[in-house]
This record gives sequence, structure tokens and C-alpha cells, in this order.
Amino acid sequence: MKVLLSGNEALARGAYEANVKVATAYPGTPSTEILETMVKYEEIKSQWAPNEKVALEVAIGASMAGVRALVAMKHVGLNVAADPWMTLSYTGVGGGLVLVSADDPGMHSSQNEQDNRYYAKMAKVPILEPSDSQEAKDFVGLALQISEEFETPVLLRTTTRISHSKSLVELKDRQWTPLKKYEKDIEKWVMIPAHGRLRHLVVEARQKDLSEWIWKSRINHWEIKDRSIGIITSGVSYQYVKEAFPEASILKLSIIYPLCEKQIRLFAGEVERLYVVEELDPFLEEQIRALGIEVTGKEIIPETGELSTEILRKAFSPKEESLFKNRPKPLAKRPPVLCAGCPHRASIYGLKRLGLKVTGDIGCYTLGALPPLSGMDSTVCMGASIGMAEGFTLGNEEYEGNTVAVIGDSTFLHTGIQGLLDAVYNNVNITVVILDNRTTAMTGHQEHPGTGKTLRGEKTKAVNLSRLVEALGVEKVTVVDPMDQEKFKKAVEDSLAYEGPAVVISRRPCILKVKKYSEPYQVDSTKCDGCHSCIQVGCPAISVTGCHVAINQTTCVGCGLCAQVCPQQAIKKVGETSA
Amino acid sequence: MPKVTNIALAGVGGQGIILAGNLLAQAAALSGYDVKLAEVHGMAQRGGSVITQVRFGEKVYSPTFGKGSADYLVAFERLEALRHQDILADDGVLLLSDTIIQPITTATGSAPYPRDILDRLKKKCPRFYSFSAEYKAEKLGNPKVANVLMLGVLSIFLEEILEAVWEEALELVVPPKHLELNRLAFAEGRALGNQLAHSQKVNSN
Repeated sequence: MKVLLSGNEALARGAYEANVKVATAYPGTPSTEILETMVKYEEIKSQWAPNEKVALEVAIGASMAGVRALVAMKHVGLNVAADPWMTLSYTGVGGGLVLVSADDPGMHSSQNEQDNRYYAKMAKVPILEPSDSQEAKDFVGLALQISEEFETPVLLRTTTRISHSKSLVELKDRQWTPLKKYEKDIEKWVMIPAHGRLRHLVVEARQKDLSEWIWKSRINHWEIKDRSIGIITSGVSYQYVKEAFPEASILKLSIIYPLCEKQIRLFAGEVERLYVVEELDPFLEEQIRALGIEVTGKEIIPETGELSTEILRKAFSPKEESLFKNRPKPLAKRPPVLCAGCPHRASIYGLKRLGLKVTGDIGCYTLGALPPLSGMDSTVCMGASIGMAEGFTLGNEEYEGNTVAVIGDSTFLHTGIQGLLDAVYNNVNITVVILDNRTTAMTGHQEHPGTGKTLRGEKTKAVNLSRLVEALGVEKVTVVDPMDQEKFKKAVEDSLAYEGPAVVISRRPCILKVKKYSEPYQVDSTKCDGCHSCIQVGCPAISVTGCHVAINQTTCVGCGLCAQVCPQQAIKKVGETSA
Repeated sequence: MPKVTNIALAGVGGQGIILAGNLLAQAAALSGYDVKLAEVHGMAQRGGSVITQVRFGEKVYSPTFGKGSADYLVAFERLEALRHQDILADDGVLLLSDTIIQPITTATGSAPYPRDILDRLKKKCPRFYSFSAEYKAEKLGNPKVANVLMLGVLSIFLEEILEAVWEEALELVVPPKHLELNRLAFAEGRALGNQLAHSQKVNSN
């Protein structure tokens, strides 16, 4: 019987069926559910790593020990893991190793839409790209088979539409695969220059062997129909092509790198006009063109965002559109917001009140950059807030004493520690506010080294953040509850006044874990003078009603931030009498 | 190409749209159809505008579909119904669980929440039906089961999926401790849908 699985659930199932023994990841949309599903399979040792680099290194170790390993991350996670990734290509593997990179064309939940296929080309490693959940599952086994046969890591690339779409999958049992017994081999595993030079030759030879194997394996398939148009495509784009042009001839690539030249040439020869349909960059197109084959691609297919059946139809047969489209007035937008009662709101609002420059980071709190809070000046990547705050004050002394870095607990443990170490080492006068909500909230509440629990939910040591930052050499460390705005303000002001790096740990658990603090608050309309100060905290429970404001009694969780903000003391907890 | 049924579920993050989508996709799968469901997690869950698409038929390729191609749009909030209305085909059916959730942009007064949404929807969709699903769900015990109640309404339109199959799908998708309440909500939705179908017949006579 077939079951309905998301691409991510199918990848986990694929790992189970293909005898994976070790699986690691750091959570990141759209890849998070791979490990969350994996943990259900007791045969697999599944664990969260503090970041993607460590996750990959754990997988490399497992592979060296001779077992099959899977490591999963979102596209930008591979930037963090790029260092081991590039050299892993040279060492090759013991047991099969597959790295799942979940790309995010359209940036549903990411800071950029980089095309990670280039990471495979740069590392000279094969890539598999599934086009639905069935392939997602099957390709894990295939990737591990290729990995072991060619002694190479394999990149399995999904996109949001594959990872988060559900489709039917035929399940199989877990298969047995032999252990690739570890034997000491320093020419393979110790990458000093002398060994690296030899391994590079192995990598180049492997590329050629793979290309030959692809031809024989028939893993890429073609469907010759109408010969006037031939389309080379892969991944979810294949589905869009099938839907938009059921009559077209198609070469569907499952292994998209290395390209099998013979296959491309033969297919090109079968059709009158050759097209490439791929999301994001002209990755296939450039390589096909480099073979001297005439091909149409990004001249008509957008290079940004996701594709769709609609986009393809328009791209292939553009109609002249009227200049006047009778556009209605745009509707009020509904961006995501910090939840009612979110402790981040209190921290960001508290910093905004002090009129500070805030270098931000990646997490729910990034939403605090948007109006009405508008409490953040920058967000680049995981951990960037601290180094950037440092550079910002180094670049212009005017910003010294009024710049803070804001970073979540999980993000700090991911790649924030090094930035703080740098500030201590160089004695730079910055304040770092660690928003410690005791979870990895944005991706759906995953555990991390600070929570005291593992992916399996087992108890473990929780890193003590204050002692950790003290150990780095920070001498001014204050732990404060952001919901107490006066204390929070004082903690930040004292830290800013302090000579040298200072850390404020703003600690309050994520509201989605706590659910509710108390009875909801309400507005005394006889006292409310309509100043809208409370509106500026950007709480989804508070809205403007005429001159006054109202608090939604079902949405309000009773955090009381608005009551602290109200200059008229017009906001009281339900049941409390206003004085 | 053989007919594929396209259904969009639209609303606000936190309204249970992912569960509703799973229920629908599961019911279609149990009925022997090829199914695809497209949803987006992550940032979109924090009170943002959310849309899930379900497609079923003999063979489904793309997990998503575009404007003008939905057979049904099940909307869980007024403004979101209007925002996504253009996904409906000309003869598509719009089912609205009629509630208002102010987005941050209108709550802060930086944009207006349109007052004429129902009129605009009526004008644009000849087959538009609206329900006080949350109120009815609350009477059953929890306003959150409005999502399953609305699928009960939808199930009357989807004659190709049998009632018993929906039952089975509910068991697969809903955690056991909430199953009873969700069954009630689904049955309530079916009753509403039946009334609607009946009144339509009367009207056309």
C-alpha cells in the first residue's frame, strides 16, 4: 500500500530503508522535519548538532567507521558546513554518506535563495534531485549506493516544494548492507598536501567514471513525444513541465551532476529545439552550452523565485498583455508576527525605547525588524550580529556605547560564540543581548545544547550560558527577564556603560511552550487617551478601534507588556480594579 | 488530460489549515486517487497569510496550481478569502468560515481592513457560501475544530470521496484524544453542507 508522505518524511524513510545508522542535522526550514521524522526509527542514531559543520563532521566520522550516514541542512547551512564538505570530496567515504541540502527558491523562510547545486560542482560530487516524495525516498538509497560504489559523498538536493509537498510513496523494509570496515589509511583520511594532491587525481577520475555509469544506469530517463520541442529538466520543475506540456519530449535528469555528455548530445539530436527548465541559476544550461549545444533557458525562464506550471506556459508562449490591467487597490498585507506574549517583543521593544542601533540575527526575533516594532538594523546570517556590532563600532566611534547585537540562544550556540570570543580578544566595547527563550523556536521548537534535552527527548547536560560567556572572558554578564521592562532597561544601560564587551542574557521561555501567563488584559476606555503607545509594541492581540484600542480576550495571554507601556495606566488585568 | 480536482485552503497561520489539508489529502489517497499536497512551514506559521493546495485525480504532476484553476477554495478568514479569491476557476466554489482576524497592518491602523469584503466576494464568485463555522465549533466544545467542520461542508461537494473514507482519514490525521470532537465537527459540517445542497435543489426547481 502507498502512504502519503512529505518529501522530508520520505527522505527519513529512505534513510531507514537504506540502512543508515547515523543521522545528524541542525534545524532549518525547509529541512527540519527530516530528523524529526528520523527519530522515530530506533535503528538510526539521530541527533541534533549545534551547527551544520559539526553535523557533517559527525556524519563523516560515522562514514569513516564504515556505516551509512545522512546529514541534513537547509541551503545556507551548507555554507557553514562548506569547509568539511570540500575536503570530504577528496577523502571520499567509508560507509555511504549523503548530504541533504534543502534549498528554498522563493525564500519562503530564508535570507537568500542561493542555488546549492554549485556546491556539488565545486566539490566535484554527484547530485541527485528528486521530483516527488517517492523519488525522495528512493534517492536516499540510490545516493548511498553511488556513494559507496564511487567512494564519494553525494549531495541530495531538494527544494521547499519537494520537502514540504506530500505525495504517495510505496514503502519497503529496511535492507541489510555490509559494513565498510575501517582500516587505517592515512593517504585517504589525512589530508596533508602530499595526500591531497593524490586524492585530487582520484576525484577527477571519479568524475569520468560517474559520467560513464550514468549513461549505463538509465537513472536519467527520456520521454520522446513531439520532436519539435525537447526539454531538459529535473526536480519539481519536471512536474511543472509535464503539466504544462504533456506533448513535449523530455529528458528528466535525476542525477544532475556530473552531466552525461553522451546523453545530452543524443537527446539534443532527437529534437528540433532544445530547452532547459530549471529553478534559480542556469546550472544545467551553462554546462550544456559549454558542450557547444544550442539551448534556450534563462532567456525565457525566470532566474529568481520558484517556477510553476503557469510561469512555464507564459514563458513558452507569451501573449501580449495589455498595459492596463485594471489593478484593484492592494489589500492589507498579513505578514507573520511575533506571537502575543512573545518575550522577544519585550526585548526588542526595550532596546528600541533606548534608541539603540541593533544588529540582528536569524530567528523569530528577526520579525521584530518589521513595523511597528522596527527594532532592528541588520540581519545577514546565523551568528552575524556579534561580529557586525563589533565592526559597526570599530568603523565609527559614534556608534560605540549605543550599539547592541541581538541573538537567540540556539543561534548563539550555532555560530555566535566565536563572534563574542573575537570581541573579548580584541577588547571591543559592545553589548550582546542573548534572547534566551530556551528553544529553537522559528523552526518549530527543536532542542539544542542549552535546553537539557536531546532530539530523542532524553535528558542531557544543558550548557550554562552565563558560565559559557564568562569562560570566554566576558566580565559583565547580567541575566534579566525582559518582561520586567525597567530591570531590562537598567541591565542594558549598565552594560552599555561598561568598558569592554558585556552580555545581557534576556531570559524568558517561548510563549508557545508556556501557552499562557495569566488572565487577559483589557483597556479602560475612560482612561485611554488614544496615544497608541501600546500599538507600537506590535502585539497581534491589540488593535486600534476608532480613537481607542482594544485587546482581544482570546488572543491575549496576559504577558502585561502593554500595561507597562501605557502612560495612562489604562491597561489592567481582567478582574483587577484600576486605581 | 484526465481531470484533476484542485482545492485551495487559505487562512491565517494557527487556524489548523495544515491539518485540514492533510485530512483532505488523506481522504483522497484512501479513495484510490493520486494526490499531491503543497504547504509551506516555518515563517508562515507566525500569524501570517497561509495557503495550502491539494490536488487529486488519476495522475497529478505539479503539487501547486495557479490563478483561475481551483475547483474549491475553502477560506478560514474574510480578508484571506478576498486575497486568494482569484485562485478560483470561473465556476469554482468558495466556502468561507466567516471570521475576522485583524492582520498587524490593520490592527496598527497603517492599512484599512476592507468593510465590503462579503459584497466583493459575492460579485466575484457566483458560488459563494459562508458559515459561522467558529461559532458552531465553539458550541461543540472548541472553536479550533472549525477547520474540520469546514471540511465536513466540503465533503458534501466532493461526491467522489465516500463518507466512510472521511471517517478513516480522520482517524489517521487527528490525534486520538481530539478524535471525538473532530468527528462531531465533521458531522456538523456535513449537515450544513447537506442543507446547502438541498436548498440549491429547491432553488433550481
